[in-house]
Amino acid sequence: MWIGFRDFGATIGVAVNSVLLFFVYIIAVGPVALIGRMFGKKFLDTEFSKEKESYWIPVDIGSRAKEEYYRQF
Amino acid sequence: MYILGISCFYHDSSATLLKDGVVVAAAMEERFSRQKHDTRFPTQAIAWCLSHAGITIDAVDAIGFYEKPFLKFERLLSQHIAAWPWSAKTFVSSLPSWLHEKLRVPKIVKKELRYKGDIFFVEHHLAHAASAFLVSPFDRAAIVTVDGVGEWNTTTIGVGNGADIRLTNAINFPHSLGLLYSTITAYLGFSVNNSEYKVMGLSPYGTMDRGRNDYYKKLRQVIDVKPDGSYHLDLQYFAYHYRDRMPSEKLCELLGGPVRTPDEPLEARHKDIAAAVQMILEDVMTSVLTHAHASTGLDAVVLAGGVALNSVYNGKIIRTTPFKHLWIQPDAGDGGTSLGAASYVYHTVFGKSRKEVMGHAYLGPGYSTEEIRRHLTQHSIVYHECIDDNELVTTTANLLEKNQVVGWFQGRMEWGPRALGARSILSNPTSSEMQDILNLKVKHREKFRPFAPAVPADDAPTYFDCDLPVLTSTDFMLMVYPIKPEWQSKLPAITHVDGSGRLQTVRREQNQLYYDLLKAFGRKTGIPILVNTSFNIRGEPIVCTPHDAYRCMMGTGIEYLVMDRFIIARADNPKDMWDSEIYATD
Repeated sequence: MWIGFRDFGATIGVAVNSVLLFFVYIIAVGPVALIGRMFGKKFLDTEFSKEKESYWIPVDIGSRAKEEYYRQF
Repeated sequence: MYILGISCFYHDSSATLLKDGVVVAAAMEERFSRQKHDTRFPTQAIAWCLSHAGITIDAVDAIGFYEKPFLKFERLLSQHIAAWPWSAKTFVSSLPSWLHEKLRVPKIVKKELRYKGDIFFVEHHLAHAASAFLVSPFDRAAIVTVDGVGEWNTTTIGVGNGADIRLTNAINFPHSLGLLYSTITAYLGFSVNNSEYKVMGLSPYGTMDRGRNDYYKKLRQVIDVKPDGSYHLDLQYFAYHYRDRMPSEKLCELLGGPVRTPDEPLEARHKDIAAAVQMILEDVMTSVLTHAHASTGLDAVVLAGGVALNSVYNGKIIRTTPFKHLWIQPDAGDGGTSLGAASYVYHTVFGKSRKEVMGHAYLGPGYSTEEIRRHLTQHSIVYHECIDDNELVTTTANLLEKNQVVGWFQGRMEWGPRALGARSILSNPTSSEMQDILNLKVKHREKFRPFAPAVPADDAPTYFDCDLPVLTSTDFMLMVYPIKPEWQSKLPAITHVDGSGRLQTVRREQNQLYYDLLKAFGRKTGIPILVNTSFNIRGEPIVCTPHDAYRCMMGTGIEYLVMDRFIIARADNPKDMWDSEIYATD
C-alpha cells in the first residue's frame, strides 16, 4: 500500500512539474527567444558555409588559477 | 594526498581515487548497481574506492568533478531558446533532472558522502584530455578529444606538456562528429550512447568504397569538412538539438526511408549506411589529426572521448596520419572522465609532478582466495581447487582445446568497457562453430558482431598486421588490425567479414596467469590466441563479484567457471538456476 501511495505521489509530482515547466517555457523562454530573434541574436551557431575557410574556434582551456576550478561555470 | 574523481548524471557514472597521484582504485557504478550505463551518483563505486584504500571520506583532500554544470546548463537553455517553440517537450522532460540533481552537485556530494572539503569543477573535454595525457607515457604530446558533447565543446585540439594541459582549438555544439555517428546509430535502430560499436561492427558488411557507396555521397552533404579538419553539420538533417529523436525527417528522406525499428531485418541499405558513416568518421578524424600534428609539431598524440573508442579507426591512425606515437587509455569515454578530473586536480590544480604511466587496466574490485572459497562453501557450490597456477592453466587450456566455454574470473576487475582477462569469457578461436556456440549459449547477440581475440603481445605480429612495436593501447582492446591472410581461415571465430580482428595484446607483467594461459593454449593447438568476450549476457554489465560470475554461468551455457584457483563445472551444480535469454536486451 505504501508503494502505491509513493507511486501515486510521484505521478502527481511529475504532472505538476510538467505543467509548471510548460508555463515557464511559454512565459520565460518564449519572450527571450522572440526578442532575441527580433534583434538577430543567434543562440546556437548553425552556420554551414562552403565559403568559410575554417570552423575551428580559438579557445584557451586549461592551466588557470586554482580559484577558477571552484566555479561551476 | 587523496583525490577523488567523480563522473555522473549523463552516462557511465564512475569514480577514481588517486593516492599521491597514483590510481589506487577506479570503477564504474554500473558494475555495483548492475544497471548498464548507470547515470546516477556513483555512491557504490565511491564507497568501494574508499574501502579499497582503507580510508573514509574525511581522508580525501579534494574532489574533482568531470564538468562545469552551469556551463552545460547554459548550452541546454540556448538550445531551447533557439528552437522555441519546438523544444517544449524536451524542455519539460529534461529540466527536472537539472533542477533536482545536475545543478546541485555540491549539495549532493555533501549529502551522499558527508564530505566537507573542496570540490573542483574541470571542463568536460579538459577531463577527457587529462584522462589520456596525464597517465600516458609521453612528456609532451598533442591532445585530441572528440565526443558527443561536453558543456559546449564537441571536439578539441591541444597540447600536453609535463603536468600542464592547454586546449587551443574547438568545435562547439551543435556540430559534433560523435552526435553524427549517434544519429546514424539511432537511424539504424540501435540504442544511442550504447550501440555505436554495433554500427562500427556492421560497417564492413557494407560497401567500404567511397566511390561506389551512394550513401557515402549522400551523407557527405550533411557535413562540411574543411582542409584543416574543422567541420560543421547541416542541421536540417538533425533533430537532437531540440527534440527527443536524433535524425530529422529530412535525413530520413535523404537516406531513402524511415528509421529502422529494432526488430526489422538489416538490409544491404542499412549496411551501406553504416559503412558510409564509418568512412566519414575516418575522413574527418584523419583531417583533424593531420591538423593537430601540423599545428603542434609533435609526433605523439593522445586521444580521448567516445569517438576514441572507435577501434576500427584507431588501428589506422599510425598508417594514415603523420603521428608516430599514439596513446588511448582503457576508458576513453565518459566513464574515464573521473580519472581525468582527479588527475587534473592533483597534477595541474595542485601543481604536483606526474608519477604514473597506466600500464594496465586492473583497477577495480578483486577478491582474495579465502573470500571466494567462503562464498563457494556458503552456497554449497561444488568446485575443484587447483594446487598451483600450473595446474590451473593446464586444466583450463585443456578445457578450451575441447571447445568448452570458460568464464575467467581472476584478480581485479578491468577499468573501462572492455573485458581484458579479469572478467572474460574465453573459448577456442580455431573452431568454426564457436561464434554460433557463444551466441547460442551465452551472448544472444546479433550475428554480424565479431568476437575479439586475445594474444600475447610478443606473438601478435605473427598473426596480425599490427603497428610495430605493438602499441600499449592494443593491450586495452582499442585497435582493430587486419589478420594476416594465412591465418584467417584458421581463426574463424575471431575473423571479421573484412579479415580484421579487434585484438587484445597481453604482456606477462600485466597479467601473468592470463598470459600463461594463452601460451599454454598455444602449446596445445599451435595458436596462442583465445576468443575473449566480456563476462556478461547482452544487456547486463560485466560481472563484478563471485556471485555475479556464478549466476551468469548458471543462467547461460558457460560450461566452466575458473575463479581464482577454483574450477567450477556447470554440470556439477544445480541446473536451470535461471534463464539468461529472457533477460537479454540491447
